[in-house]
Amino acid sequence: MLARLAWAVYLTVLLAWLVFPIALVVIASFEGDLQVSLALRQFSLDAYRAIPRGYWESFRFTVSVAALATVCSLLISVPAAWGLVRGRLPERGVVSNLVLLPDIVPQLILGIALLTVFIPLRLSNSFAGVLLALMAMNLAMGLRFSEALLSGMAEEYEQAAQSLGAGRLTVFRLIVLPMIAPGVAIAALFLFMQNLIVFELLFFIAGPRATPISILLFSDIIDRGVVPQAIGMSALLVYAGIAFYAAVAMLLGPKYLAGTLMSRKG
Amino acid sequence: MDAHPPGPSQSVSLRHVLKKFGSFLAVRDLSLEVAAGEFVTLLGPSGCGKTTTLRMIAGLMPQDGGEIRFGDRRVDLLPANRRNVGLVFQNYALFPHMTVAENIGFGLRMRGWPKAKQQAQIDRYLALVRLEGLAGRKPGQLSGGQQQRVAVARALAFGPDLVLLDEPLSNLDAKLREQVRIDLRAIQREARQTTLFVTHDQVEALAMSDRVVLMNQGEIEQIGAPQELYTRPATEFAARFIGANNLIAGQLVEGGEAPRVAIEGQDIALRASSSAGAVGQTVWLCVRPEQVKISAIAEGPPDAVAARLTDMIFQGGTMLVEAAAPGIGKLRAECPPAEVAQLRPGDAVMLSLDGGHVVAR
Amino acid sequence: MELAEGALRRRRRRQDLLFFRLCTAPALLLTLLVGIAPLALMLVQSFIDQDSEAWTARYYVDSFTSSFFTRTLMTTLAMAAGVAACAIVIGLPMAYLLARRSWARNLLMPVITVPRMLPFVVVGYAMILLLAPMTGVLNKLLVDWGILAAPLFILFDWPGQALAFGYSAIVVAIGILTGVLMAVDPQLEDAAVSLGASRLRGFFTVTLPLGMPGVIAAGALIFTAVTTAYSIPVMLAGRVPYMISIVVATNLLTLEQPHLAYAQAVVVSVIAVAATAFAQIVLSRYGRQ
Repeated sequence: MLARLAWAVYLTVLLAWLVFPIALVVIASFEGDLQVSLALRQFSLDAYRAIPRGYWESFRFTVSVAALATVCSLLISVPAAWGLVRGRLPERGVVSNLVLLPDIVPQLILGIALLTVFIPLRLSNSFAGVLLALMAMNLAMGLRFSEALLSGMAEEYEQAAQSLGAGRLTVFRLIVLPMIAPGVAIAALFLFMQNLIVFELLFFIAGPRATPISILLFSDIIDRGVVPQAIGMSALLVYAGIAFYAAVAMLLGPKYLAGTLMSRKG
Repeated sequence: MDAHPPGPSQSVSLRHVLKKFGSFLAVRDLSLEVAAGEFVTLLGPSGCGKTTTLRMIAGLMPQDGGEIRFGDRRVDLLPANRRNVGLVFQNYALFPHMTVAENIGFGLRMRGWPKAKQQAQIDRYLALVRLEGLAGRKPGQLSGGQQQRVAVARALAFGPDLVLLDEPLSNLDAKLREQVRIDLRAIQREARQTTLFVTHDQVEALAMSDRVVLMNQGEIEQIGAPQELYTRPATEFAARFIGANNLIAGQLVEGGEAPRVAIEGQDIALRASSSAGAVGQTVWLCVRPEQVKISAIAEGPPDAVAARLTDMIFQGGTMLVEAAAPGIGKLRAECPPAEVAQLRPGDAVMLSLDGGHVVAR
Repeated sequence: MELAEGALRRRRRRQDLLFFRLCTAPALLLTLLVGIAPLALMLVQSFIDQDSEAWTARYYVDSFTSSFFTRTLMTTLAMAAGVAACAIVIGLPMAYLLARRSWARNLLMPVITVPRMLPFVVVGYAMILLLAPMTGVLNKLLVDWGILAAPLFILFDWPGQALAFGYSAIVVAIGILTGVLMAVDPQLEDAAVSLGASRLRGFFTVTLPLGMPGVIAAGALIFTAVTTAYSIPVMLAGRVPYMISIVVATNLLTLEQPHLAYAQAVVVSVIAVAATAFAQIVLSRYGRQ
């Protein structure tokens, strides 16, 4: 009995703690006022209307650079994983660990390191610079994902296609790609989401001409404090997170999420 | 590109083929000739090198020496996709994202056949494996037996020089396996297709093959027609591997047309029907269970062996009888149940062991 | 003849290797250019004097002899270790529930997952809305209910930062621990219970040791994430910086001491990579058992 009570209290407190901040952002965004009350005294879309053009542009920038980085890094990491897994390259361990290194070094540090080379190359404060930084990080996860996908796919399919007369590239195009496509799609979704919310990696190389939304929101709170339009934008990002969850849950089923999230790091 | 039209396909010859894994010789100096249209089985325990050999022929594994020819075309330096070999995998490896028709047509597509000709060929082979209605299905929607037939059709459709079957029946249940065995053989005969079949199942090997190649530890133990392998094994390994032989230790005392073996520790010499040994040699006398005659103790012929029944196992058409013979050991006999209806475990009997085959020990 | 064949076979194998190496080449090249090279350059520059361009270890010496740097580093590590430990302890029962009860998984998974999909900035905003001294919902409620006489000023101080880190950390801990505990066969614990252990004892003697890899992985991940976090420490900064990332960034951006910042960044990454490597080593030990 006591144990049940303890469980109930624990669950209630923990869930409240997990839900509250998210709920607060959403509620506040509909009150159009920073004096948040849980009573929802007033309902307005002012906070959303107040979102300035700069936010939308930054949001569009974030989405496009995140999407492009996802696509490019998968275009590179899927063939790389195929070469490593199927080619039985003697240097597989070394290459694989090298590519994973940018993911082991903290993002903040990689960001600082990138700044040192990007400034002389005029890549800081540019779309290309942000894209490259994201790709360095995405390659690691993309490679790990695709290596796992390919290791899980029996080699016989490729050998069957080969013995039927298909050359290497044809095997890759007609057999490997279609067969791992569902897994790659899920990897893409995770990479994209990670790219949308990344902060520490991009903080130093971002600039006025290339500002991801999380960094714009960050500098606004530093410069101006909490403003309604920032809450509105934050709420939109919450919706994006929920949409992402819904998409993955529909693709995978909720029970697989726990395991998949693990592979995000470590 | 239709350089190899379907029809009577090529002969295959392996000469001094060699495969090493580190210092381990997986296949040592293997030579084998397969005639065009022949069905040859590589039989042996797991790890004997039969699958390695098949994979080298298909080009999926680099070989370390020797040469492989299809007809007079040397193939061992070609990559897998240019060898023109049809391959049926143990798990079939049907492309799950393609329909049955697309699977069967894959080899044709790779050879650049025109669409209409592809379709005609697909239809022809769907008919051959009796899957006419299922062209549009995905492999996942088929039963195990149907998948197996698609895999066979896919391997045959593009007119390969040689078809390789890698334990294709092992994933089927026992009843289906028997049917597929008959079907597969019929399809192979109709297509007059040179075929190499790999299995560890001697029943399959004996039932399907024109010739059986028995392999052990990377080498060929014996090549022969199924009946020859069964009745006249050349080595002790062959005698032990094929069938549930009774192996009785002895010495060959007479050779030639009517060989006789003196049984160790017994004062009798048994007549054998054939021999692969020299007079004076220590040998095994191999007696098939169905050759063993059981009689009650009083009626036994003079050169029979006294034994005591230890177990009787009813197998439907036959009764498997186990007996212990003092000085010889455990012996097995198989006979019609009616013949031994009067006997019970524990009874003393006489076992007549004439007509065995002799191999060197 | 034999020789020529051998040469041909070797050439075939070389061509195969070349093909597959070409497949991996773009990934390797990009990683070298955008990952390895900048990190190496940073390491080299941390040993070069900014003005005289001579080799020097003075940035490391300066850092470690500065009590400000060492104190901040220590508070950072204490914060990271504390947050990791608390998050795991708090998240473990929830993870156990999620791992063992599918209804709980189906019901609560969004609550666990969505926070991980949010930028830290949004979490920071939420923390301000919740805990701000005058306007924060929690403070107002507690004061209105008479539990507090005056609002708590914890947000822009280390407790506020710890709570903000803890929010994300608990979510991470639950996610990883759930995955690992799901892989532990529940029948093992049932067996322990059937042998006379209590449910709690069964958990601590059977399930938790088998779930230890998850605890270690989650611990290392949270530890490194907190050590190098930047947005939360700045958003919720007090008068004294508690977190090392602020020191590094200030040296880099405001004080124009990039090489000093590089040296300190190297120190931080050595700590972070060491934590990850330690976790990997312990995990592989576990794997071997």
